[in-house]
Formats: sequence, structure tokens, C-alpha cells
Amino acid sequence: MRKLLRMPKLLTVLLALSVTGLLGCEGPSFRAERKMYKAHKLAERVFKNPRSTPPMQFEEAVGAYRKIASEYRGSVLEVQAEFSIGHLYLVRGNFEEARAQYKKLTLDCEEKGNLCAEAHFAIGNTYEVEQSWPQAEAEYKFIMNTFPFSAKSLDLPLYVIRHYLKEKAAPDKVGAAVDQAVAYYTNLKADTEQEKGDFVLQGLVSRSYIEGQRWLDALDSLDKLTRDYPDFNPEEALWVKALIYSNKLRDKEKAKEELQKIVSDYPESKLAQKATIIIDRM
Amino acid sequence: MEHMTSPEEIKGKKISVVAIWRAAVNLVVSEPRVLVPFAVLAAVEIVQLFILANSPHFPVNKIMAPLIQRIWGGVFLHYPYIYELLPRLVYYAKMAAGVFVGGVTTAMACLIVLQVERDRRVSLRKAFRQSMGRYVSLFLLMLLLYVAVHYAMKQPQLLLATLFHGKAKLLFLGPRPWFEVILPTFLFLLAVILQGFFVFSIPFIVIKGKKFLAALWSGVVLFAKNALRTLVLVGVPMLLYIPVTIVRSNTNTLADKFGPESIVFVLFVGVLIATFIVDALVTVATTLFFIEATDA
Repeated sequence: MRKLLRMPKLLTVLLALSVTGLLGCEGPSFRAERKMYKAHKLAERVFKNPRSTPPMQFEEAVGAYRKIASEYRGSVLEVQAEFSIGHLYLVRGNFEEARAQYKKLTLDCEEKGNLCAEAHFAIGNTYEVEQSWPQAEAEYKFIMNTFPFSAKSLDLPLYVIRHYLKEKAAPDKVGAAVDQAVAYYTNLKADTEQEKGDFVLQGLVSRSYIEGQRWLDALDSLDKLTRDYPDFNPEEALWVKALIYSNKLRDKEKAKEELQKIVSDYPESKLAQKATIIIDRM
Repeated sequence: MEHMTSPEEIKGKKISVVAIWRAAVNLVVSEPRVLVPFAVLAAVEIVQLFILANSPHFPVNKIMAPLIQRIWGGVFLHYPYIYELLPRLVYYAKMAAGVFVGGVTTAMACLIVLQVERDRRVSLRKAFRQSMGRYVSLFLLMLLLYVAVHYAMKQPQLLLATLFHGKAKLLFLGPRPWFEVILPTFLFLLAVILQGFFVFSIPFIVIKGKKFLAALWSGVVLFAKNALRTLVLVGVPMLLYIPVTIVRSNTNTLADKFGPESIVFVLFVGVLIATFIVDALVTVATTLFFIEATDA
């Protein structure tokens, strides 16, 4: 019996040693991720109920992020933490504090690039939430002009069109936003040296017309896409044309013509199979 | 060794499940060394659990990180996603431990029960040596058991998902009662039946000295002749595992409330209950039944 009692003790000691040993090997990045997760959990309480969260809980969440920001200065975690603090102020309706927080991230923009664009976008968002669209739009235009090839600036013209549509703005305002988007993308094309860049920008021109519901302009732009960039899956542009003819212009014949073009000109593509099925059903 | 319920009380009668249970509990209380093999297996599984929980950290990451990255994606090496993956990793590790170690530890327990029942001196070393002598058969049997369980337990869910495809109701019932009540109940019964098919094969290998296929067949025959009693002997201890299954199926809620690390604790408790309590009770009870039924 003594032997039996000694055995679990030995096992416990071995287990304790192995657990302590293994936990000691936890890397600093994993520890940082855990801290960030805990901070997110504290912030979650604020996000769920921004206005009625007790100030102490709000401060606790901000404090957790500030601690991470100071502990991991110069890392991605610092940036994430600073953004999160801004978001917390924003949901609480403390717009000035939120903007001040985001502005901290707009320093050294030559080095940061995309990150600065994101910070300016967040500032624009604070104005939007505050119902100050002109200031928000000014911030967005600043991004488009200062960081022309960042992911954010390529999306912003479409974002502006969507804003006007969501707000049910007058058609001339939507039209102007579409024209500005098309002009923006067309100007950028002059600065690109690669064909793929041109193709992406022409695709965004088509998207701008589609977002603005200017179907005939969209069809012209898609024609240009298939004609000028035959190496970049032109059947996809034909597919979008077929959808516009079928769903928006209610012209089944033209839609069928586009689908037939996919089948005859690009028989190996995946869309050719789908197009064949749809033609048979038409 | 004296027991409150002696084998004689069972022998000669139509073997009563209650008598077997009483004898099994008394045996464990009077001779706790019968639990040693299960303690060893539980220790192996717990060490596996802690090693797997440390997959993103040095030195375990040297082996586990490339594996996890390749199969499930690099995100699972980060906090808190590793804890989402952990139950699955532990499941596979438990299969490996069961195949490589579980056969031997169960065989040892069967032999210790036999030693006690024959009033012989309990010798763990002898039981270990005898079990290791039949390692190949035990290994093959456990491999077959785990493959069968792994494959069979997946099928009902796949079948139900196929039957439900594109339908809101199946036999007047929506997906919730099917997937949350009927399917788990059916899977529990299936697990008990599968366990019943294989439960006597290990005693046939180590007590009767039969070869792998002969032991497998004899085990199935003995089960078929005593199906109801075997299912009760196997099923009752397995009921203890149901609360763990319920907690394990709600790991997301648990992680949300108590932190992702709580999943490690749940898995730890699961090992203790499944291996140290359920397996021990099933093995002792079915071995006692085997001894009486076959006059070993």
C-alpha cells in the first residue's frame, strides 16, 4: 500500500515539473496576445452597452489598452491598442477624445503609409457618427490625395457613392460622386506602369458606375475592360454584363448574347459551364 | 482477500448485474492497486494534454507548430485559437495513447482482477509482464476498436445532415431536437454497443490466452449471449461521462465566461472521469462478469 501511495506522489511531482517547465517556455508574443485578448474582453462590455457602461469599467478597458501600448511600443500591438482606445471613446460619444487618440497614429506617415490612411479614415468616421458629413468627406478626400495607392484610398470613392445612396441624396449628388470616383481612378491610371494596375483601376471605374446605378456607362466600361485587358479573365466582365442586362435592364436577349460569348470564346472557363446551364433554362 | 460479495455468491446463479456491481465496487475498495493501470494511462493522457496545450511554445512547437500550420492553419498557433483546436488534438492523442498503451493497461487490470478473485498475491509486475507478452494482439485489438469507433460515431451525424439537406423538418421535428437530443442519445447508445462488442476480447486474450481473431470472435459471441447485461455493465459507468460531454460541447460559452484556458481544465477533468473512473469501473465489472460467465 505504501508503494501505491508513493507512486501518485511521484507522478504529481513529475507532472508539476513538466507543467511548470512548459509554462515557463511561453513566448513573449503569446503572452502579448493573451493580454490583448483580455483587454478586448474588457472592451467588449463597453461595446455591448456603450452609454450605460459604468465609468470604472470604461476606464478599466482603456487602462488595459494603454498598458499594452506602453509595454509593446513600436509593435503592431501598440497600434491595435491605440486604435481600440479611439474606438472606445467613439462608441461612448467622446468624439474629441477619439479624434485626439487617432491623431496620435497619424505621425510619421512617410514610414507608416497604409496605417496613416486607416487613422485618417477613423477620424473621418468620428465626424460621420457626429453627423458632420462635410468634415468627414474632407478627411476622406485628404486620404485619397495623400495616400493615392493605399487600399483605403482605392475603396473610398465607392464608399462616398454608397454614403449618398444610403442617405437617399438627390440624383445629381450621387451623379457627381460617381463622376468624381471615375475621374479619380482614371487619373490614377496615368501613374501606373503595370498593365495589371490599369486593369484593376478600370475595374473600379466599372464598379463606380454600377454602384451609382448608371448601367449604360457600366456596360461601356465593361466593354473596355474585355477589349483592352484580354489577359485578365475577360469572361468575368462578360458575366457582369449579362447580369446587368438580365436583372437591371430586363433585356433577356442581350443577356443571352453575353452568356453565349462566354461559352464560345472562353469554353474552358468555369463560368462557361454556368453560362451553358443558364442558356438552356432561358 | 475478503470481499463483501464473494464470487460464490455470483457463481451458480444467473449472473446478476447488481451482484457484479457490488463485487466490483468492493474489489476496488479492498484492492485499490487494480486502479494503478488506469492511473498510468490517465497520467499518459494528462501529459499529452499539457504537451498539446503548449503546442505554440518552445520546445513543443518544434514538432507541433509545422503540423498544426499544415493541417489546420497558422492561426491555431495563436492565443486564444489554440484552445479551440485543443479538444480535437486531445481526441487524436487519446486514440494514440489508447492503441499503444491502453491495451496493456486494460489487460493488466483484467489480470489483477483475476489474481484477486483467485486469492493470489497481487503482483503488478507479473500482470505487466503477462500483458506485454500479448502486446501485438492487444495493439491490434485496440487499433480495430478505435478505428471502428471513430468511423461509426461519425456516420449518424453525416447521415442526419444528408437527410436534413434542404429541409426544415424531418419526421415532424426541426433540426434542434434531432441534433441536440436524438443524435447525442443515439451516439451514446452506439458507443455503449461498440464498447460491448469489444469489451470481452481483452480478457479472452490475457486470461484465456486466445489469439487475436479468436479472442475477437469469442468476445463478440459472449456479448451476443449476454447482450443486455453487458450493455448495462458498460452503459451505467458511461453515464458519468455525460456531464463532461455536455460541458465539452459548450466550450465556446465556457471560454467566454472563464477564459480560453478553462478548456484545458475541462479536458483534464474529462481524462480523470473517462480513464480513471469510467474505464476502471467498466473493466473491473466486465472482467468479474467474464470470470463468472466463462469459469476462468
